[in-house]
Parts: sequence; structure tokens; C-alpha cells
Amino acid sequence: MTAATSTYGAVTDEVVAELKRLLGDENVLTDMHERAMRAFSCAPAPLHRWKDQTPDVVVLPGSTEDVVGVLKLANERRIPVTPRAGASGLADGAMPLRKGICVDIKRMNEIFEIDEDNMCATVGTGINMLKLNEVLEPLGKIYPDDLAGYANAMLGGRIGCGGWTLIGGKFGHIPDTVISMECVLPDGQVIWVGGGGTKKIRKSSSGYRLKDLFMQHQGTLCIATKAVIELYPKSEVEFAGYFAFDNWDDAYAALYDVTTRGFGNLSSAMIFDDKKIDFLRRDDEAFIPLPKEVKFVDLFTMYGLKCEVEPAVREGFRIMKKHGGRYLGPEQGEGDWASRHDRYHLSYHGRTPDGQATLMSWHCEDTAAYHTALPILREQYHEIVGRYMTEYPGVFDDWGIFIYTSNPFKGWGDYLIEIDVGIAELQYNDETWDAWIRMKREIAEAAVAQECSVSICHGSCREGDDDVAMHKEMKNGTFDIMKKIKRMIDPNNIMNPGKYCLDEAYDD
Amino acid sequence: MPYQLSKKDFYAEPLSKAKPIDEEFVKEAYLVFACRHKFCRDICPNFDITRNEAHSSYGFHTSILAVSRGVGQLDELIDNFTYCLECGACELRCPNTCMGGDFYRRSTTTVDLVRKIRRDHMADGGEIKNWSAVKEYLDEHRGFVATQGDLVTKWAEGIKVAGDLKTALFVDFFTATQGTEVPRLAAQVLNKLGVKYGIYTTPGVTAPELLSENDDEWKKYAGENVANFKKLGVQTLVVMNPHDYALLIREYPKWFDMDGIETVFITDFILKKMKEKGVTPPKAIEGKFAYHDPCTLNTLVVEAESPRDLVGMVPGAEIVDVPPGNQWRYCCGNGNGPYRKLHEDIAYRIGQKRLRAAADLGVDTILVACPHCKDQFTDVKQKAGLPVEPVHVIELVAKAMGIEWETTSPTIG
Repeated sequence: MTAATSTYGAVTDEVVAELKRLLGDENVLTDMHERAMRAFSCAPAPLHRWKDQTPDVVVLPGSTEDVVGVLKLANERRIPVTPRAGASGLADGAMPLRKGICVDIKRMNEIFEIDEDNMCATVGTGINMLKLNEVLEPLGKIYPDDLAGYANAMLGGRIGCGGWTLIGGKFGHIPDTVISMECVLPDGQVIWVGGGGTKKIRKSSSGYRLKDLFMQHQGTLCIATKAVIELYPKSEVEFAGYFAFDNWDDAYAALYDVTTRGFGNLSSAMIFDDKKIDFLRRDDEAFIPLPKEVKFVDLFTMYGLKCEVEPAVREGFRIMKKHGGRYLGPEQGEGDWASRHDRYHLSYHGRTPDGQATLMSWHCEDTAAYHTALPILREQYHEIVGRYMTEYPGVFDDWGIFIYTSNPFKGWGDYLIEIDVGIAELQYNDETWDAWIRMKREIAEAAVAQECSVSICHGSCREGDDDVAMHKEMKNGTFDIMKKIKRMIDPNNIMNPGKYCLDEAYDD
Repeated sequence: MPYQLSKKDFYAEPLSKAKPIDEEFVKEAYLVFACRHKFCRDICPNFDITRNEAHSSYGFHTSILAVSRGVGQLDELIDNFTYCLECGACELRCPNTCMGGDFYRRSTTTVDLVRKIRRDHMADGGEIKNWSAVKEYLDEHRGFVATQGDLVTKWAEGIKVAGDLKTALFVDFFTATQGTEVPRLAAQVLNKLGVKYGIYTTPGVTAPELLSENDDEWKKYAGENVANFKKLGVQTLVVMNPHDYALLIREYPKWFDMDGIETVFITDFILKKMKEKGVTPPKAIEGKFAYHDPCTLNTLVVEAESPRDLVGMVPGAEIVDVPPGNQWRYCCGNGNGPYRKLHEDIAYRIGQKRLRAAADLGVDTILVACPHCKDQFTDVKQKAGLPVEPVHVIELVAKAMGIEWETTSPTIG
């Protein structure tokens, strides 16, 4: 324990009473089940250590003023605070490593303004994207944050992790689609960061670009309470085409060509590798069965006006065909793309070494890689996971690799390479948990060795990732600056302490 | 009997604070926890108001898993388990149900779980806040059983009932005493269509609330019903209350052999008969109406079309509502169990949201297919002062068939 973590204040009856005075009795939860269910977020977790990360109290603020009151109190008493939005993150951002107060912002889901003239909306950060789009849909508008957790993620968490979206190739990702935001700092100060000092200006050259600082911090700097977000016209056409390939080289070459062709409406392009196809074949309820000769699949999606998309799709078909790709038909395209948000959340996808169905949760490692690093990382990731599968039979399972385009507004350059690992979470004990952390660390180190980044969408603040990301990937001085900023903004280290190795900011 | 996908035999074993949670149940809780993407959460009408994720299928299952890991006690959870409408929306949205249910026989059964936890808690000596109102309601039903010979047919006074029980109208306590316009008008519509039917007179206590209190007692009544259906030669059971319909479709086949008995909801039955006989309601009713899907038809049994289709048969009547997909995220707020009696204020706010959505469409009438929805909306309309009147689909159809809208139903109860 460092000096920074040794003197936290306790959540006493007096603190609970003060919280109730601030927020009302019904918005301060102390029952064990209310706290216990906020111990984890979305990724496989150390269930055997459940009590260690159960918050002492949960609060449900309904306004910025509520959040100000809670943070002022926490700062004064030096009580750890963990913000929680949809809790769909895969980097444990909402996991309260030091217990304390869980600030659950789901009540802050108001739509304050829909400004069609300036194509933006002002919303509370407890809003969910699906719900928001239900309101926008009759207006012919959309907020294009299309992630696996589309049905349950909330904007606050998306800001906290600097989220990535499946269709960012056309629409951009969270740093692009959030124009500005209101943030409550640990001392209760409320700031609004955006283009210069404005709320609705996207590009300004006034002052520092602070919006980026208050994004992706995983709750270690502030709590975002409101945001102005981009609106887009709803696309006339959403096309998803799946193409079968016999081998990696052709699938990889086709991906390169389709992403560098210069399409203006390419929303995403991706590869399902052979192990991913095998995994999806396990359960015919979750994936349209493919013939055995299909080894790899490339997908590209195009969103936009019909007059743009139709000719672009024809050109996309030509590229795929040139590399030997075989179109898998509209049923595959519509069916699989439509189920992109929920097909993986089925625990019986797990398999024992002898092929029997078994209960497993899953985790995906989300490296940010450039194009030429993809082949070697793919091989290394399968090798690493395979080794742990051998060492811990029935505990880990290789669920294959996805590769997605990831550069905002363009297809080339950056990619997400994601290896999905099935994990027999119910069997976790100290030994298998440590094995999982070692596996994660090896994957992260392999990424950094290729000058890639540990995380593209989840955040690298999880055990096994954080030390590699902070001490190896960011050893060029970036982490030193992070520590200085953290200490300046949060001198008492109350904001989500334990994340991103930032306790080290207080080591002296 | 065919295998019932949603029947989980291990639910029969009571959970108790005195013993550890068995492995099957841990697995059950884990299956929902493991998803973690919480598709069950934001679709929940209760969560939509409280914004507390403990009040969701994910919350219910996770809290049980936590207890199995030594975090918390079973009897501490009970308050949480009162925040369920039993509407089934979360079950339907769960990937375990919609992608793996029939494959791995592990559909998510949140409604059954919630009922089980409540009755196990009470069987273990625990209490549930505000349960006295539920008990009073169930006692009324029990009293009804004792005197049902008169009450169960009183709604039909003055209506010619000419058939035998091959086609039997199933009218429960609530509909026979508080929603009398539905069976009364439905019977008159059937007479106009020349359909012969009888009235089943011994429905027993059918309220789903009983499943949260004493499932053995519920099964006793249900078993007697099935025996009576067979003894009386019932071939087609026409059900007025969708709460009963959902139980007959979902619960009865788990425990009893219903072979040879076709269970039909009233709107399906009337629609079918109109089509068979080539009858179109003669009287036009010009207007635009919202339509509210009862959760007992859409999310619980996935049969939602016939009320809409029936309205479509009425000349001049047009349904203008939120898209059907969005409909399924609503509930009237009554729920399919004791919810409204336990959480009157939240129930009101859920209903208010639904009525406001209808008002925003510029309609002055919301059609319903459930007497409980009508009862709830009538209450909400009055309290909120919203200009939207709840009307049962059967009332609309009856009027279009030339049957008096304002019924002269006798005072009952």
C-alpha cells in the first residue's frame, strides 16, 4: 500500500447520513445486494474476491448538483469514489478497487435539447444509446455510437473509456462524436470542456484542447454529467456484405484494398479469422452456418445515401472478388450484422478440450494495431492463448480473432485486433486468476513489442494491462505527465483510485 | 407431455437462508450474470423509472450469485424481488432465451424466479412489505371460489347462452366482477356471429399473485380446472383475461396434460369466427386509436397480432401508435402479479409514461386487450389528468357490430 492509499476515510454512518441529506434517502443504497451487484462491470472478474471490491455505499445522483455534493464530501473526507454508468466496460473502469462510494449515474438520463439546426443534442451522461436513438429516429437522426453494448452502455461510461464504435470508419468514435461535456472535478468544481470555451463548436483553436484530457480517464479525473453530442442524418442504406476466403493471405489483402480504395461511406471492414469462424459454428442459433470450406470471412459495411452506397458496394464486390472472396449472400449479411450486439453473450459457447459445451464467460483483448502488425499479432495471440489452454484445460478457450477498421472517418491505417478468450469464470481461484492476468500481460507485451497500443476501446486500466501500458507503452514520458495531471486535479487521489497505476503519482 | 423448455425442476427445491444455494441454482444465476451486457435492464419498465439496476433480471440473478459466494444473505434480497412487473420483457430479450434457450434448454425464466424467491422467503418465515394488500386480494378470490356458482355467471344476465361446453368461455374472478363489459360484450358479439358456447363456472383462484405466495394452492386450482375441462368435454377454451391466458399457455402445460384442449384468447377467437363466417362489422367507427399491447400477450406468449387485426376489421378505425417494436418496452404499470399493490407510485409513473406516449400521438383513445390494463389506465388517466380514454378492443368491436357501447351490465360483487 502506498502513501496515497493508506489513509482513506471510512464510509461511516455520519457520511451515509450526509449523503442522504444531499440526495434523499431513496438514492443512497447501503444494502449488501445493492452494493454487491456493483462490484463488477462487464468482464470476467475474480468472483472469489467479490467482497474485496464491493463498494461501501452506492449513490444515485439525479443532477450535476448532486454529483458536486457527493464529490465535495468525498474529497473532504478522502473517501474513494468510483463512477458507474452502464457498467458494460471491459476494462473494469467501474470496479471499485478501493471500495468507498459508487456513484451510479443512471438517473442522469435526461435529453435536455435536440438542436436540429446545429445537428447536436445535449444529454445527461446516464443515457443509453439505444434509448436515445429511439427518440431521434422519428426526426430522421441518429447518434452513431454503435458498440457491442449498444443496448445497455451509457454515454458517461463511453466518455470514461474514450469508446470505439463498430461504424466509426464513417462516423468517428466517441472522441469525435462527443462535442463537449460538463465535468465535475474532485473538489466539486464544474467545468465545461469542448472546442475552446464553447459547447457546440467542434473545432476551435482557442487554448488547450482539454476535451481530450477529460475523456478516456476511466473516472480517475472527474465525473462527466452532461454532454453535447453529434447528430447524423439517419442513413438511407445500411449495407453489410460478407465474403468467404480460403486463406488468411487473400482475406488480409482484400481488407487492405477495400480500406485504402478511398470510399467515403465505408463504415467498417473486418476479418473473422479461422478460429473465430470455428467458434461461431459451435452454435447454430447464434450464427448462420457456413460451409466447412469457408475458412476466413471479410466483411465490409457501407452506410449513407442510396445514390452513394449502391455504386460503392459494386466496387467493393469487385475488390473482394479480385482476391478470391465469395459473397455469402444477403441472409448472412442482414442476419449476422443485425445480431452484432448480442450474439456473443451466451455462456454455453464455451467448450472443454474434448469438445463438450461448458459454461464460460468471455473477454476480448483489444489491441490497437497498424496494418502490417496484424499477421504477426494474430499468430502470437493464438499461440499465447493456446499455451494457457494446454496448461489449464477447461479454464480457458480460444474464441478466435476479429480485426476491425478503427481509424475514424477512414478505413486505412489503424485496426482493432481482438482475440476473444473464453473463461470458466465460476472456477476462478487465486491460481487461475493469476494465470489469466499473466496471459493478459503476455498479450499486452506482444502488442507493445510491435509498437502497438494495449487498448483501442476498453481502456488499459485493467490488471495485467495497466502496468504494461503505463510502464512500457507510455514510457516515453507520457505516463509521467499523466501522473502530474492526476495529482494536480485530484490531490487526494479519491477518483477511482488504483486504476492506470496512478497511485504512483503520490509515491513521494 | 412434451418437454417444456422453461420448466426447471430444480426450482421445486426451496431456497432457504439455512442452507447453501445448490449448484444448479448457482449456474442459473451465473448464466444471466455472465452475459453482463444487461439487455434485460434497459428494456425493463420498472428500471425505466427507478434507474436502479438491482431491479432487473441482471440484478436479481447477480444478487443470488453473490449470496452463493458468501456476499450477503438470501433474506436480505427480498425487497429487491418486489420490483418485478412479471411482464417477461427481460426473458424475451435475454440471449440465453433468444439464442440458446431451445438449444441448451436454458431459457431465462425471471418471472418464475421472482415468484419462487417470494414464496420461498415467505415459506421460510419472512415477510414482504405491503404484502397484506396482496393477501387481501387473494382472499377475495378464495371467497369467490366459495360462492362462484352465482358470481361467475352474473355478468351474463340477460344474455342468451345457448351452447354446451365444447366451446367454453373462461371468465375469472377479476373479469367477472370488475371487467364485466368484456365478457358481456364478447358474448353478445359471439351471439351475433352465431357461435354457440357455454360458460365455464368453476375457474377457481387464477390470479398469478398466488404463484408468488403458494404454488401448491395454485396448482390445486389449476389441476381441478384441467380435470373439469376434460370431464365437461371442453374442446376450446376461450379466455377473456390475458393474465389467465398466459398462465394457461405457459404454466398449465408444465404440470398438466392439456392435450385435446385448445386454449384461445378472445380476440383470436372472434377474429377467427369473423373470418370463417365472412362477417365484417357493419357499423363504421371513424377514428384514430392508440393500441397498448398487454405484456401477457406480447412478451409472455408472443401472440400480439389478433387485437390489432380485429381493430383492422372495424370500418374507419385506424391504429396510430408507436412502432410495434417500441411497444414492447412499455407496460401499463399494473404488471402480471402483485406489483401495483406493492409499488403503487412506480406503477402509476409507468402508466403515466405509457398514456403520455399515446397522448403525444394526438389520439384521445387507447385501446387495450386486458381488463387490468384498462383498470390501471383508468386510474392513471384520472390521477394524471391525461386526455386519453382506455377502451377495450372488444368494446370497439361490439359497437361496430351494433351492440350498445354502454352496457347494462349488472352490479356484481
